[in-house]
Amino acid sequence: MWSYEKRLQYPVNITTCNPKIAKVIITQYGGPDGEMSASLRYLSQKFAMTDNRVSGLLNDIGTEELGHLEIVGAIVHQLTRNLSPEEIEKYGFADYYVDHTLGIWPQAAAGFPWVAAAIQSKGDPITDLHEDMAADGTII
Amino acid sequence: MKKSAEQEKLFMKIQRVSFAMDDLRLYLDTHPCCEKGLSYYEKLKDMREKALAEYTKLYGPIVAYNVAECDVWPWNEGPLPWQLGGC
Repeated sequence: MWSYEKRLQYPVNITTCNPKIAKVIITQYGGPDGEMSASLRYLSQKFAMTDNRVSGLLNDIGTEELGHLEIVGAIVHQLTRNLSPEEIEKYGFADYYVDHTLGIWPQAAAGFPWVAAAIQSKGDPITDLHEDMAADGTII
Repeated sequence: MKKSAEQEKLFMKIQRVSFAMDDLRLYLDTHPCCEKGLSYYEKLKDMREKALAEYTKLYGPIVAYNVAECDVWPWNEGPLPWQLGGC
């Protein structure tokens, strides 16, 4: 169970639109090593984690990663606010826009959708922790 | 609606204290007996509770469980956190 706090974990205030950069940053939302992968990796691995301290830690990290997912979504949203048809064309945003308009969709920078194949949940503590370190080594 | 300087200051206090607690929580998960960590968490918790209560009273809820009695549901009054000026 989660309860939402009406704030971003870290503030995002972008006043200048830049859809070109948004198309790169969106990979941190729905790319293979993005926040969607990070959050679902930890939140899925917690169930089979045998040590309660580590299982709870995975839950707390996964929770924080959901906060990061929201931050990245806000960045992409604010970078692409109120685009004119001319800007969409000029900044190379038309290929994203044709499918999603200004919606935030979990994709990698190259355009392919988020897939669970980018993460692993093996049910073995050592295996899962190694996967975490490979994916997000700065946290664990 | 843009936040006033006072609102922004109090909001950022909640942001900073919460960020510190988020990090410290992960440390305490694997160091549950660390006295220094535990007392620091208490100190931050006290700061957060005070700031959150004051902010909620003056500017509205950050946590939906704390929505005050009202005639009009205020939870979705903007700007929302992901919108410009909302976080």
